[in-house]
Formats: sequence, structure tokens, C-alpha cells
Amino acid sequence: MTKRFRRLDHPVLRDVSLTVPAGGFTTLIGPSGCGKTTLLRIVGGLETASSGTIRVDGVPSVGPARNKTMVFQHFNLFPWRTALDNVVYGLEIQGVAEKERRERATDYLKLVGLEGFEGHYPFELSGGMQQRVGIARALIVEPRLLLMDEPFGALDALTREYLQTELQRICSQTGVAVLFVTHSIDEAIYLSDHVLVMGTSPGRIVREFPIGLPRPRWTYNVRADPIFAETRAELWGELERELTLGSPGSQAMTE
Amino acid sequence: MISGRDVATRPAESRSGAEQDREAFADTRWGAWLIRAVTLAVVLAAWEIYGRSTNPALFAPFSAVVSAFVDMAVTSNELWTAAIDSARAMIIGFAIAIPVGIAVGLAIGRYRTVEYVLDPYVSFLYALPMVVLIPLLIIWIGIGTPARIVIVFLECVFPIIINTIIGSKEVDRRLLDTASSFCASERQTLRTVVVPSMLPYIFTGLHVAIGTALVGMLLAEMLVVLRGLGGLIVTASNSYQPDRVMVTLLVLVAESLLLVGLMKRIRHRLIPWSSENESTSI
Amino acid sequence: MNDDLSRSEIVMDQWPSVVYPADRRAKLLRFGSLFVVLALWELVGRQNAVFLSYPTAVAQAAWEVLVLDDRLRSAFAETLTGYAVGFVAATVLGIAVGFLMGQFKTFDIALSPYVNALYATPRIAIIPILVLWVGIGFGLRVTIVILSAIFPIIITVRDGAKSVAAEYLDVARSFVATKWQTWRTAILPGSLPYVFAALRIGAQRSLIGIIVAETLAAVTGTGRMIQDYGQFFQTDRLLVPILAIGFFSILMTSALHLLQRKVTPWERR
Repeated sequence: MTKRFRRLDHPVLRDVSLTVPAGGFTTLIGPSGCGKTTLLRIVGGLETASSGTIRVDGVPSVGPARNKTMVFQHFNLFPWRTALDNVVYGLEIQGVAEKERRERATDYLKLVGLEGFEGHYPFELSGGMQQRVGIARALIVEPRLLLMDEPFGALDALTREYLQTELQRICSQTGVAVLFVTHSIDEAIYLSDHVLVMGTSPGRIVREFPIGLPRPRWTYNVRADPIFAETRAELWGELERELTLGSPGSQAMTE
Repeated sequence: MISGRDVATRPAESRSGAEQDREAFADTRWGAWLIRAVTLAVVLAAWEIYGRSTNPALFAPFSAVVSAFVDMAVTSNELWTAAIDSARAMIIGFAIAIPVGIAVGLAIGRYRTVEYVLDPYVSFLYALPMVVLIPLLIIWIGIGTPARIVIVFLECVFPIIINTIIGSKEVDRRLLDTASSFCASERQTLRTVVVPSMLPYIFTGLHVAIGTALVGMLLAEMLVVLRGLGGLIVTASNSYQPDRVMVTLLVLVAESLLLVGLMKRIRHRLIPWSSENESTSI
Repeated sequence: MNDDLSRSEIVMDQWPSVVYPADRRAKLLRFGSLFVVLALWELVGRQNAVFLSYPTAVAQAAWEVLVLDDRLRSAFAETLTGYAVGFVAATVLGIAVGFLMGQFKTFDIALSPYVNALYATPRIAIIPILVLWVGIGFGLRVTIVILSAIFPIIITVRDGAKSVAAEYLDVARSFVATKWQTWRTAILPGSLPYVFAALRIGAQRSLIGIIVAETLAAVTGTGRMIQDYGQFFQTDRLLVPILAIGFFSILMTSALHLLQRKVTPWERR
């Protein structure tokens, strides 16, 4: 499955072109304001590009579509619905029968490790649990592409690490392709097959880094692997360059 | 990047892109004006047509209202005299209500004891439609000029009190902590944190109070003293002169909007930092 | 401008939030002061019965007027009917229009100036001319109630619908929901708090509306009774409906708060 497009819209994004392979995990990383969230939203169809096309499995896709769903940084669960009702949302919109909806939702909640919490309201769940509901909600419609906008950014470090592992497990079980946005280099390396570094003003893709770490990555201490450290150093170097280039009168910029 | 064309309150960022594109027509400046102009034209036309076809003792077409306006405002001073008469009573009542309202509100908000004692009465009086107190007031102070001022005062003091109380309760704990971490004295804290925090709420109270003051003024004039704009409305209605009634009504509408606009201006001047999106909680 | 109007309504909606005294000392203070006030009133009132009346006289008058005689009771019933009909009508219409204005830009732009202007106009000014048109009767009173309540309702609901967090709209859009589905699943539940605030505001305004209508243009009804008692300087009797109306108002607001808590259990307040 590929995704390809360009956007010419001074000053936000310019000449961006990227491809996400089927079942692959691609991450966008870059300094604040480089437009990575905008890019994600364009791919998801929530915003439009001034020029260019988005293709899923070779078919052009305009606007939001059923084969791609989003997971948001602040979870965006409906507070007036229980976990189960939140998860069924996509199917409800599509008109799937109630019984089947509920069964599938229960399965997906089990998949994300929230069995038993179906009747809980979001305010009764922790941040990590809420995001898991968000992931279940996004996956239940069986999309080809999962778009994740800094999904773990609002969580504490421990939950974050835990969920990164969970995410890997879930992705390998469902085989969905993922386009992921983050600030964290470690997260990017841990999770992805490819990391795309973005530059700012205007936003564009500066460099692509394939990640040469074997999967599955939760079965061994991947962070101790020397390749991890090397990749990290390279990525950081690239980012640092972007950070200082991007801001006017730059030196003082540090992550 | 995303244009500020839309008129919604949220920053343009959070509006979904396609939505923006779809509503482009209504968004453009002249698009909006066009819609408004057309609606206005339709309303005026309907008004004129309907007015001409019904009983002139009951309803006046737009043209009649215009000529009545000329009579009352240009040829004679009638309208202005009445308006000023009304306004004077209202302003006095309002002016007295402001310090009283804020003082009481502060006292209740600040001192728990005062709150426990006064709260039931304040809540009760706030929930009570002031109009039911008018006969009682007449018994107490008769029907002279003070009656108007008192009624206006009563109508607007409660919104001010309530909003001041809410304002004093909503002072951000964290800001207070900041002040105390700098070892600020009680007075300094009051001056630098509490009062500025409360100002937006107080202004909301004033904003509402102006509206209720207008209502109070009218109530007093229509029920008790029969002067000013309220008096004009009643006498004109009783003598089957709907054109004059409508002129007065329009003046009232204009006055209302003017006062609200004025309040906004003053608010912007005095407390420019308060974004309109604060001082609410649901 | 739009937001100011509803914002002030919503802030005011937080009251009455009768503070429940937490400890015995506070309870004592409150009831103690109440007792003192009543006692003082009794003492001073006896000297100035016409001006102030006094608690025991009011109690007696209440007995006479509510139990022995049925005029006030039927006046209450009449007032309540006008109130209920007007309030319900204003609510249904107001919420409908409010949502329409919140959802459809064109509608909003076209109607806003008139809604805002009418909201700003004291409706009592319209009463004399309405009497000319419609005559004195149930219809007039209900019309006034509707006019009093409908504009704040429209404005509050409109702004509520508009301010439903864009995040929820994003979710609906990303699942390709139709406009109707988006409204039903995201906007409607999201604006419920505003709808309830609108209801409470509407309840208050309706009460004012019916009383004013009865005071200015009715021969029966509570408003009229109050005028009558006042005219004949029957202060003790006068205070009975005044107190009743005040308590009724508080009752309505509390009931609606309760309803809101039931219907929207996810709102932690």
C-alpha cells in the first residue's frame, strides 16, 4: 500500500512526498511547527492540500475515508459514551448491526488489554487506558492505514513505554500500516521501520532513515543494542541541524 | 496558514479544513452583508405591506413609524426628553448599585461567616422576579422619583453581587500560591492577584446589570410613575397610536445595543487581557 | 458579540449554589442568624404592621389565603398553567432554532441581528402593544412568557452548539459521518450542558414573564393578586405570594440541576 502526494502551500508544507509500505510502520519526526501534524491531518483527509494527491493502495483518496483512521494525542473520546460505545463508533456510523458491533468491540477491547472495562466512562479511566480505547476505536473498522498523532504525548513516561510495546504487539497482530508522528527520537526508533525527518519553514521531508533493528522488538533489550545508539546519534544530528536551521538567530535552540 | 476568514470563536486551527471550504460564501465579508441586507429588505417590505393592510389603530407600517419618528424626535423634543428622563433614573440606580453590589459580593465571597448568614437571602432575592416586589415598594416609598431609582437599583444589584461572588471564588489557586511564594502580604495579594482576577467576572455582572437596569426602569415607568420612555409606551398604546409605540420601542432597542456596546468597549479598555473565552464554566 | 450574551447567562446560571454549611458551627450560624432575623422582624414589625408585617401575621395570612379562601390557590394554578405552557413552547422552539443557528451559517448570519436585538430589548416594553393586538387573555400571557424566555434560550443553545469541541468533530469526520450523524452523535451530546443552562435560564425568564404579564394585563392570576393586596395595603397577605414565588423559582432551578446530573452523569461538577 502506498501513499504519495505533494503539497505546495507556502509557508506550511512544500513538495512533500512520502510512501508508507503496506503493513509497515513509518514515523514522522521533526521540530515543533514543522507541519507534521498538518501533514498527518492531510493524509487523514481532515484538511486539504493545495496540490497533490493522496493514494491508498493506488486509489486516490479525497477527504476522510473508511480505510484510514486516526488516533489523537488527547484521545478525543466522547465523554458521554462508555468505553464500549466509544469503540463501536466507527461501526455505528457505517450502519453495522448492533449485536455484531458490540461483539467486535468487545473483541477489540480485549485486544488492547481492556477486558472488563467496557462499561466504564472515559473519566473513570486513566490516560493510558483512554488511549487504548482510542486505538481500539481506530482499529475496529479494519483500516489499511492507521494515523497516529503523538498518541502517547499526553501520557507519563512509564505508561508511554508500556503502550509502545502494546502498540507493537497490536500492529503485528492486525498487520495494519501505520503513519506515526512524534517528538521523541527513542520512540521513533523503537517503533518504526522508517523514520522521516522533517524540516521546518517550509515543512518538508529532509531525510529518510531505515531502522535496521530486528522485530519483534519487545522480546529483547533493544535499547541496549548498539545499532539503536548509532541510529539515535544520527537522527539527533539531523534533527539538531534542522532545529538550528529552522529558527532565526538560532544558536540557543536546544531540545 | 489557515485563513482567519471564519467567524467562529475558535482559532482557525481547529476547524476542519473541508468545513472551511464549504462555507466560503457565508464567510466572505460581502457574502454576510448580502444575506443581512436581503433579510432586512424582506423584513421591511413585509412590515410595510402588512402594516398598510391592517387596522391603523393596531399596527403601523414602517412608513408611519418613520413619520412618527420625525414628529417625536425632529419636530419636537418629546422623544429626547423622555429618553433623558428615563436614562437619568436608570443611571443613578445603576451607579448606586455598582459599589453596593461589589462590596456585598466581596464581603460574601471573602468571609465565610458573612456568606453563611447572607447567602440564603441573596439567593432568594436573586431568584425572585423583582416585579413582585413593586407593590411592596410602593407601600414603603410611594410613587415618586425615588421609586424608579430604587426599582432600578434592586434589579441590577443582584447580578452584580452574584457575579462578584463567583469571581471571588474563581480566583485561581495557583496564582495565589505564586503570590504567597513571593511572600506577598494580604494587601498585596488582594491588589495584584485577587482584584485583577475578579474583574472579568465583575464586568460580566455589570453587563447583565445594565440589561436588568433597563428592565427595571421600564417596569417602574410603566407600572408606577408613567414617565419617560415607559410612560410614552403606555400612553401611546392606550390611545391607539402604534406608530409612536414602535418608535419608542426602536429607541429602546437602539439604547440597549448601545449600552451593551459601551460595556464591551470599557471592558476592552480596562481589562484587555481577559479573553472572552474565560469567566465561564459549565 | 454573540459569545458575550450567552456567556453572561451561563455565568449567572451557576447561582443559586446555596452553600451547604459543612460543620455544626456553620449550621448554627446560619439558622441562628435566621432565627435572629425572624425575631427582630416580629418585634419591629408589630410596631409597623403596614410597612413590614411580621412573621406571625404572615403565617396567619397564609393560612387564611391559602387554606380558607381559594382565590389565591386558583390564581396560583392559573399562573402555573400559563408558565408551563409558555415555558415548554419557548424551550422547544428555542432549542430548535438555537441548534439551527448553531449548525447553519447562513441561518445564523441572517437571524443573528434580530435575535440579538430582541434579546437586548426588554420584552415588557412590548406588552402594551401586544395587548392591543391580542387582547387580554391566556394567549397574551403565553406569548409574553415565550417572548421572555425564548431569546436567551436560542442564544445559549446556539453558542453551545458552536463551541462543541472541535476535537469531537474531528473524530466524527475521520469516521466519515454524515452531517446528520455528526449532529446526533457529537454535537448534540456535547452541547447538553448548554442546553440545560438554557433550560434553567428559560425557567427563570418564564417566571418573570408570566408575573409581569399578569401584573400589567390580567384580571386574575398571581401577578394581579399581588397588585390587589398591595393596593389595599394588606402587607401580610402580600408577602405570601411573594415568598411562594421566590421558593418556586429556587425549586425549579434545583430540579433542573438534578435532572442535568441524571442525564449527563459524565459531567463532573
